[in-house]
Order: sequence, then C-alpha cells, then structure tokens
Amino acid sequence: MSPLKLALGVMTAIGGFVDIGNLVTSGITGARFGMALTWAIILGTVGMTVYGEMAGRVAAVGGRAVFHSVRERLGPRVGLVNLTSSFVLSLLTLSAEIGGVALVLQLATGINYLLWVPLVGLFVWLVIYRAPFMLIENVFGMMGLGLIIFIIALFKLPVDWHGLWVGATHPWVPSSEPHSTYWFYAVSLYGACLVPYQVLFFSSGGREESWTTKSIPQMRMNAVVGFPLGGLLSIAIMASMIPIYSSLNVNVSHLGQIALPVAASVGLVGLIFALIGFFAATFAAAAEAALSAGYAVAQFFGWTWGKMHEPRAAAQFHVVCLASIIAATGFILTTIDPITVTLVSVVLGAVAIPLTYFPVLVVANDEEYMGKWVNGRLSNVLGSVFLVIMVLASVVTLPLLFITKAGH
Amino acid sequence: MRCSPGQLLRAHCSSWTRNGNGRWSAAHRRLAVIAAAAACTVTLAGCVTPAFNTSSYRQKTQESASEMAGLVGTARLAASAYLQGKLYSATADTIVSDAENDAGDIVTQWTSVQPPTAQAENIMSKAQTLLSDTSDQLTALRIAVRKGDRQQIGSLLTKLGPAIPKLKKLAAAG
Amino acid sequence: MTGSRATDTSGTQPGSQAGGQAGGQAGGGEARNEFWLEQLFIDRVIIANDNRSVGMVDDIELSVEDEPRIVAFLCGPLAFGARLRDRLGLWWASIGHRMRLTSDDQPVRIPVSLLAVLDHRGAWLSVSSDEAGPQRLHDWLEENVVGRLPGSKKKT
Repeated sequence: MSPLKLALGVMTAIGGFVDIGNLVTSGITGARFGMALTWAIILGTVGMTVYGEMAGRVAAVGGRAVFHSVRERLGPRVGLVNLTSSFVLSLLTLSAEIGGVALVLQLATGINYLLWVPLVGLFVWLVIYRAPFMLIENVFGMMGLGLIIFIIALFKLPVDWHGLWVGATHPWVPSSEPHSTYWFYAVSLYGACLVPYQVLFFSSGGREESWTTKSIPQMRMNAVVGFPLGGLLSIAIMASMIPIYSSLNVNVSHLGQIALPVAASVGLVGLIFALIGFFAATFAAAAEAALSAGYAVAQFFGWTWGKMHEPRAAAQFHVVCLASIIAATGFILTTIDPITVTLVSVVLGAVAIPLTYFPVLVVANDEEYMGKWVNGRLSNVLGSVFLVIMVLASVVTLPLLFITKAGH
Repeated sequence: MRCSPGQLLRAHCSSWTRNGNGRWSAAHRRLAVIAAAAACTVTLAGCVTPAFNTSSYRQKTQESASEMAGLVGTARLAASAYLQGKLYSATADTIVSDAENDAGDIVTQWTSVQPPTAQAENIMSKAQTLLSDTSDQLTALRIAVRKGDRQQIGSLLTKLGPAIPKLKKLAAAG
Repeated sequence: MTGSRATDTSGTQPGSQAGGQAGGQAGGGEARNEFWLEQLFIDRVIIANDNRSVGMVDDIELSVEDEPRIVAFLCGPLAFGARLRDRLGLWWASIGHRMRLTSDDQPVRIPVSLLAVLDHRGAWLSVSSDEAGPQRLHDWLEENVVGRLPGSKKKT
C-alpha cells in the first residue's frame, strides 16, 4: 500500500464524511448554543468510526451484503419492516441532499433552487447510471475538502479560543434555551454523523470496489483517521458561526447563512471554496443515498445489485435507484423547505440507526463469515456501548421531535 | 382551510380503511390512528396559536422582535460583505432575499394574532411600526442588492443599523 | 407456526415455513432437522456463474420417495409471500402470482442439479442466470425500462 494511495483514501474519507446534515446542524447549533454541543459531534463521529470500520471489514472479507444478513437474522417479517424504514429514511436523506445541492446552486447563480432541483435529480441519476464508482468517491471526496476553508476562516475571524474551549468542555444547557431543545439538537448532531444508510453504503461500496482482506489497512486508515478529521470539519463549521452570529441571536435557517462567516472573513476565494465543498459534500451524499436505497431493496430480495454489473443485468437495482431519485425530486419540488427536510431526516435517522447498525455488529461477530477478521474485544466493547447509546437515542428522539416542534 | 383535517380523514377512511363488512380491522384502525396523528402534526405545525392574555401576546411580540433582529443582522452582514467585494451578487441576493422572506412571514404571523386586551393593543401599536418598517427596509435592501446599487445599499445599511438595538430592546421589554 | 405444511403440490412438499424463528420452536427430532436445514439454506443468496443473483432461498422442495432429499430451492414472491403469512403474505404472493407466466401456483424453482457450490456466502450455480430460468420482474424491467436507456449494456 503506497503512502500516496493511503493519503488519497483518507482525504476522500474526510470530504465524504460531511453532508447536508452536518452542514445544517453544525450551522444551527453553533449560532444558537455556541460550542456546548461539541460532545454530540464527537460522540457521533466515534460511533461512525467504530461501525464504519466494522462495515468495511465485513465488505472486505466478502462475506455477505448487509441486507442479506438482515433478512437471515431478523426473519422475513421483521426484516421487511427494517427494509421499509431504512428505505424510507434513505429517500428522506436523498431528498434533503438533492435540495441541498439545489440550494448551493442557487447561492452560486442566484437562480431559484426549485429550477435546479430537476436538473440535480437528473445529474444524480446519470452519475449512478454511468459514472464509475471511484469517481463518486474520489472526485467528490476531494472537492469536499473545500470545506477546510472553515478551519482557515477560524483563524481569520475574531475567535475567542479560550471561550471556545470553555464552551466545548462545559456542555451545560444555556439559560436561554429549554432542556428539550438542547437535547433535540444534540440528537440532530449525532444523527447527522451516524446516518442509517452509511454502513450499508460502506459495506456495499467495498464490494463495488472489489475490496479484499488486503484492503483492510487502507479501510481502517480511512475510518480511524478520515472520519475523525471529517468530524473536526463539522466542529470547525460550528465554531465559525459563533463570532458572527451569537451576539446577534441569529437563528440560522438557510444554507447561505452557513457560508457567510467564511465569506466575511476570507472573502470571495473563501466563498468559492465553501460553495465547492458544499456542492461536493451534498452531491456525493445524494448519489450515495440513492445507491443505498437500491442496495437495500435489491439485497433484501436477492436481486443482482451494484454498479459492478452492466445496468441491464441489475435491472431491478437500477429501477429502484431511478424511482427513488424521482420520488425524492418530486418531494423537494412540493416547495417544502429543504433545511427542514434535512433536520427531520437526521433526527428520524437517529431513531432508525439501530436497525442497520445492529446487523453489522452481528455479522462482524460471526466467526463463520469473518474468519480471522472477526470482531476483537475493542470493537465489541465499543460496538456494544454504542448500540446502547443508539437505542437510547432512538427511544427519546420522537418525543423530543414533538415536544420541541422540530427545534423551534 | 376549507376542509378540516377531520373531514379529510373521514373521506379517506370511507374509501380505503374499511373492509367489506364495514367493520374496522385492527390493521385499519392502526392506519387510521397513524393518519390522524400525521394530520394533527401537520395542522398544529402550520398554525399560529392564539394569544389568550396580555403576557402571551407580549411573549409573541418579543419572540418576533428577537427573530427580526437576527434577520436584520444576517442581511446587514451579507450586504456589507457584498460592498467589500467578499460576496458575489448572486450569493448576497440569495441571503438577503431569504432574510426578507422570513421577515415578511414574521410580520404576517404576528399581525394575524388578535391582541386580546387593551394593554396588548398598546403593545401592538408600539411594535407594529418597528416590525413592518424593518421588513420594508429589508425588501428595499434586497432590491438594491439585486440591482447592484451600491450607494442605495450603503444608505439602507445606515438606516437598518439602529433597527437592531431597537428590536433587541423590544425583545427584552415587549 | 408450524414447521412444515402439507400441500398438494405434485410429489413435493415445501419444507420449513418459519424463517428465522424456527430455532425457538425446535421440539422433537423432526423440528431439529428443520432447524438444520434452515441454518444451511434459508435466506442464502443464489448466484449464477455469471455472478448475477437469481434470488434468495425462501423455501426448499423435498422429494417424498425413499429418504427425503432436497430437490430444489424455491424463491420469488410466491415463496416469500408464504413466509410472510397473514394478509401481507397473501398480498405479496398474489403479486407474484400475477407475474407468473403460467397460471400455476408454484414459486420459482432452482433445481439442486444446477448447484455447484454451497457455502456461507451463498448457493453458487454451475449455469448462467438465463439458463437458471426466467426471472419475470428482471426480464420485464430489462426489456421495457433499463434496456431502452442508452448505455445499458456497458459496464462503468
């Protein structure tokens, strides 16, 4: 494994970690809570690292696809419920990402985002249908590194570093906010890091790239180095909101507001980097969510799946992807606010996380499938701890959603 | 809304949640409950709750003023960044337009609340000019940004400057 | 939930219906056998020698002459619907029924004579997906939707 290739993989993992959910939740919470919710991003990132590594290992060993296992372990009925909820959430995430790409294009061109939505949908489909798998990962992952501009912006903004540190290490509920809102946004940040489709995407994507056990070191580097750095980007976005917005009590509710601190501090070049980063992060996530919808359904029913086959051979898989994109595009065209869709999708995602993550833990523990790559003690302890957290979060999330009226 | 959620639900129920005997099966009942819950959520989320007394009216006014202050802050930041050449006109236009739209929504929602007491009417007459003037100025700012009229943007920024402390005062005192 | 269900299909009887739950039902020797059969076969993906999936094993067909032997893997919506039970299962099976070429109620059959290797990853066939039999949904979508798109025959 050459160092160059390792570095490339890690960089794409950093860029690929952030999506519309991270952008929106970090932006909102930074302006509203300062650094008090940093712990939620750290929690979500560590969880994603642990489970991303597991999913990658499962893919590399080539045992089975996640939804083959879901069906075998949970039985047809419960498995079908699992499939349905995972699929609906992938659709919701896909809608949010398509809306996000369109909003970025509006910021860049001034043309209303609704006019962009159908074009974005078409482009997402074309990429899924024709572009090589590596392109989605590498090109968009690298472009997503444009978000590093948020770290640079931090050094140009009048940042009170000591204040940031105190805020992050004293995660108390601000006096101006009710406890329910604080916990709602904590769940949203955690849910933005641990998106349900992600383990499905990693494990299936590994098969698309024909990983073998030789790919495991690379995969581990991506997960253990790339994801935490991606989480750091989310924290940087959160921190950059504070010097600009907190004194004004601004409620961040648009994507433009999240780019504004970069433009105000770094200038036009900064804005361009931020917009490229936004575009790549949301677009790659849109393609991944659409692919994941197809993976889930096709794997569950034993259909040929994946871009490694010619589209004709995986006809059902491609039809599911296409139908998902059409449905998501139509949903955003109803003029529902994409930022609201994003917030709801990450929070409902938090409810559904155990559904797709639990089977990964089970398979990674199965010696028959995994051989010598079976989960070690560290993975199991961390995996089990996180499973408990995931289930707890999943239980409290819906009440929080209703009590806070989605964070108002 | 011409048709209440209840009516909608009944219309749906009669068409698809009854089985042949006209009885409700358990599964259909579950579906109906889910549909009712969804309908309630949608209805509740879209409505402004009425104010029953002076203090709840005051609170609504304070919230509106606080949000308006945030919008003015965002719009001013965007407009001045545009004047300094740190934002494209398209981006500045989008940010200011978003703020303008949100401000319009706040004013519409706030004015739709009926002041329940004489005291509340007093609060209304004090706040109304400030809220609607600010909203109008944001509209003027959006027009100026879209036209690229730097001089006009500059003068609107000066005008909007004092609005923030005023709104904050209103948000604190009501 | 019963382990096996007597049906009047010509000389065969579907094996277990219970999916993943049968383990808890294991009582006598027969149930123990079913438990093993399921562990081995049910929900294993069937892959043809051109690397395309043909389906998931939802059920198995046993011969009743002499000793019981596994004759075929059963898959597709008819077999899956039977495992779902209740109204959902009926509904599922009726979709499968409509997609069948003929009017019989048989699920898609993959004879074990086509099987090359059976391992923990799946059931690998010695024939191509076309030779394994028609797949109605795939064939229809291939002909009417995906096949009509430009570039559908090229790998990316």
